[in-house]
Amino acid sequence: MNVIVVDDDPVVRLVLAKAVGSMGHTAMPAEDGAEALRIVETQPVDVVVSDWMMPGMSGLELCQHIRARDAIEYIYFMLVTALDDSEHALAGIAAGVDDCLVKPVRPFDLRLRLMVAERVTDLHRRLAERQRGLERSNVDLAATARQDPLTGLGNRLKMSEDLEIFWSRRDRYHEPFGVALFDIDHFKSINDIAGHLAGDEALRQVAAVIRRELREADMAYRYGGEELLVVLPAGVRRVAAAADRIRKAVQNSAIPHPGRPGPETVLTLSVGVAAAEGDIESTLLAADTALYKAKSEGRNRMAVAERRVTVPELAASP
Amino acid sequence: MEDLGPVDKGVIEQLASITDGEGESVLGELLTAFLGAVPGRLDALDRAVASSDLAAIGDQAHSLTGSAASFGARGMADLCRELRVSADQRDLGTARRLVEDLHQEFLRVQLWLVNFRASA
Repeated sequence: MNVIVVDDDPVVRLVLAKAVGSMGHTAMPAEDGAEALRIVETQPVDVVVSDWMMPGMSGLELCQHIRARDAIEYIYFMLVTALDDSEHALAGIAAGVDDCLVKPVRPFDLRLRLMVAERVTDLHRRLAERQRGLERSNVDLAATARQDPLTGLGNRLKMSEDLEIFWSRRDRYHEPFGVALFDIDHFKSINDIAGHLAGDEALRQVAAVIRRELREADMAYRYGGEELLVVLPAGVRRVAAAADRIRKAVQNSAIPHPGRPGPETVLTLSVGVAAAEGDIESTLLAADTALYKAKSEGRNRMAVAERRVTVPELAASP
Repeated sequence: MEDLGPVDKGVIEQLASITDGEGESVLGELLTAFLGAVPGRLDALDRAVASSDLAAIGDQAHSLTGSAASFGARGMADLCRELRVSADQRDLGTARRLVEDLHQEFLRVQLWLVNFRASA
């Protein structure tokens, strides 16, 4: 253990430091409370053995300073008092001191007390580790609860939360954003002809292509069934350009599409794009309406929702 | 009758159990530190008495109590405690006498410790 030994008397300090060292611990001598606090702030410390009466900061004040720190690691505090000082000992324990030793400190007593201190600090350390582990698990759980297990994209919960954030940024900082709702063309035929596992695999592959095409600030979610939603912080022209790029990238990655009617043999997407206007629900509805238009116009194409801003040249794709 | 010499042998034997990284006793080093530090403390007490500085007498006496007690010099520690009381009571005459006694007691302690070291 790292043990700070605080005493204003250099001879007493030396005796305590040597005693601590002979028990296999690392002694950190300090001549007053201020020096002890400096050590606590800069190095890992397990135990403090401090004289009560010192010029400047008393041992009790030092303990109070240490207890007031916002640190997860516990420091075991031993106060050294005079033989007839039981009141101080009581006040010390009440104020957060773990143990009191009577002056002069006998090396054997110190050895016993340090064994107890080691047990207690070890317990605290394991508790702290468990707490950190739980905090990590909570973070992991929060992430897992917001992820679609099949595609690895965000799920509906994550989508709702993120859209609120996108929306408040739009309101506060006038940052525009838009949504692109993708749907796998003739998805049902994959499930019907090759089975649901093949359908799942197709979805996974499409999600992987989408992830590759996105920039860091863009977000993708499994909207439901074979529908995937991409949110991009940009004006509608750039959102539409990105959506069409994704559509082409999926087509070019030549994911097999068994049982697909028509001339195409690879998997394709239709996509409806809408700028964030009105509110979240109407924006999603606009994207859905645009997607329906893309489907009805022959699939494997993009349609942009009718808004004040239109992108006819892009909407005329493919 | 219990050993009533100037130094509590039990305390010194405890100190002798303190070892360094190689398992060697560090008692010699500790005794050297103690015997080296006390004369300076006594000088400081002499100066404090000469200048009638009661606060300094009290502080020095407190500090020396700890060292003396750590090395089993119970007579010295008792004298230091009395000295603090006399300083608190602003009794300079008693303080002067106690400082003289401390000098004498330290000589006895020194002799005892040197003999102990020689016999160890």
